Amino acid sequence: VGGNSNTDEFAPEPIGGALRPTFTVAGDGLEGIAHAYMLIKTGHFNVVSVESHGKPSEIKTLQDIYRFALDPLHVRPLDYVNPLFYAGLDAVAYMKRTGAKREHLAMVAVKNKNNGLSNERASFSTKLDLDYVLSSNYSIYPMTNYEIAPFSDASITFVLANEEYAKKLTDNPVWIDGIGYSTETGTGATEWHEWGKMKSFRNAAIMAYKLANLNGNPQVDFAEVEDRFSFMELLALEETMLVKEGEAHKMLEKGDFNRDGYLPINPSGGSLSMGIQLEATGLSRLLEAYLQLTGKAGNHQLKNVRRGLVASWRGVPTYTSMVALLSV
Amino acid sequence: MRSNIFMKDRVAIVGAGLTTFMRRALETPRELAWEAAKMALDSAGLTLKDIDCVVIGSAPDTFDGMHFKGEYLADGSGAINKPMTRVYVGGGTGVFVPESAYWHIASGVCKKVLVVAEEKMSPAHPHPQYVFKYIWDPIIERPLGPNLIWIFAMEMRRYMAKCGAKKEDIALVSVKNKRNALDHPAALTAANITVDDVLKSETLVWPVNLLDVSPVTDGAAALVMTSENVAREITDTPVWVDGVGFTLENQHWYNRELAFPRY
Repeated sequence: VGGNSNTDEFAPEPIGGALRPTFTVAGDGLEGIAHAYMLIKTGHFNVVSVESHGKPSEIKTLQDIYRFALDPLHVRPLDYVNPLFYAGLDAVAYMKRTGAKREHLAMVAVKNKNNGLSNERASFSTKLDLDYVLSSNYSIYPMTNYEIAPFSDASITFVLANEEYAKKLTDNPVWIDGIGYSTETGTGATEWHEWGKMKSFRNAAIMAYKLANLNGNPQVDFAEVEDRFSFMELLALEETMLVKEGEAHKMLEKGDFNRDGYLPINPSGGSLSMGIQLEATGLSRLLEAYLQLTGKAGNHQLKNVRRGLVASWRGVPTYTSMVALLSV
Repeated sequence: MRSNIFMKDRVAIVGAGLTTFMRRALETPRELAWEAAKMALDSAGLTLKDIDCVVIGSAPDTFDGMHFKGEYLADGSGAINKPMTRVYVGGGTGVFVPESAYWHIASGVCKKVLVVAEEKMSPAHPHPQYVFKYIWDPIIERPLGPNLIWIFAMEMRRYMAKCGAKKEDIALVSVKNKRNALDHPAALTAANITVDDVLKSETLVWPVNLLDVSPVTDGAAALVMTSENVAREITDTPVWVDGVGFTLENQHWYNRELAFPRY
């Protein structure tokens, strides 16, 4: 199972897929994990590997690829549209609905960029203070460059197994309690999107919690969530029901989401520090959660974490999100 | 892949839909997808409200001229606010999509799955064959300028040499299949032809002639697949999926035995 955008079947040998059941999921790597979860649950498979890679550094004309993701009849003819405007609109609608201020969005960037300093994989981490972000120019209103994650290259592989094999292979497996994914609306029909919300996160979370036999807030110790745009971290926390609606920015202000806070969010620095690896982005959030739960996170290891949540979004202009609930 | 006699849910097909296959369809890809999806739902007597998962299949984005094609097709495939996933395995995608739906159901995660496969090759100008220029390894193969028929020609030549098949024998496949399709409402190039017609048609890449290959088309197909309990409620005549299988060969075509597909 691999999740990548246009490289489809270029990778059978490097991932051990030659002459094996191998296929591509055209979605975020976390969707690949969902497929592996289902494959194992059928009872036909014992061990499944999921690989996802993204190499944005090889893309010469990223703007054109974004253009081809926009609806050809309604949006693409508006020439020179920066597709990230979708995120800007969502951010403004979110702020209006919840009363979050521009400063809160900047605080997410400050927290995550600083968190990344102790993560060796976080190439975009930096020592940043709030005033510096607030005094920068807007890149996509209401966000500055520091609140929009840059691109990076990566390949990430996970090995999943059923309970019997997992116990044979390792003494400390991480269990997938539940996994969910959902699409709110097609990219050809964004007029149906509920601006300032992310229903796909909500539906994906409900699916994941249902598979985990939970109802509502799963009481996690930490979470690695979508933050490719600063406001998405707050929105994702509310939509996955980890915090109450409209409360995320208040908790952020109190410091609850800091690494030593009540509910550490993106202790790795998130995508703002680690970058966007196209379809591997969800797996980089999952990798960080895995490292935390197995105690291998090194300098940014949290203490006493038993359960974590991973949430990822496929990015502009899609409304597809994935959620995974993990425990040890 | 091992057999599992304790599987949670047997998987059934309870509805199907198919658009007419044509060159340069006027419908958008979303409209094609919905046409097939609606037919499948109607034939199962279900509506979108009943569906809990959607699986979409479509080959690389470039043919439809849409990046994130699964997301683009989402509303046309009835996936709004539902778990939607798009899978592909190149040319075999059409068969692979229901296989993927199989494990959505057999795992117990979904009960009623809408399966939609769509392809609109005509937006590629001047011809979709240009898109295939980018499927080769960029360092070793692409500088040679191969295209798909080039590879099929080598496979056919190798098969003829190894198995002693003649061009006339292979032409019979085309004669049979085009004739079978004469009464098929969705067929694009059904015809009553002879072996001679095939041999006399234009040579594309020797030994492949024009009538040996299937044409470029636009179209969509859809299925409704459900677990056993649901299927029994919906229909008296479900089609059971007894087994599925899929495998991938190695990355480079020149490392394969051209006459014998091990996969």
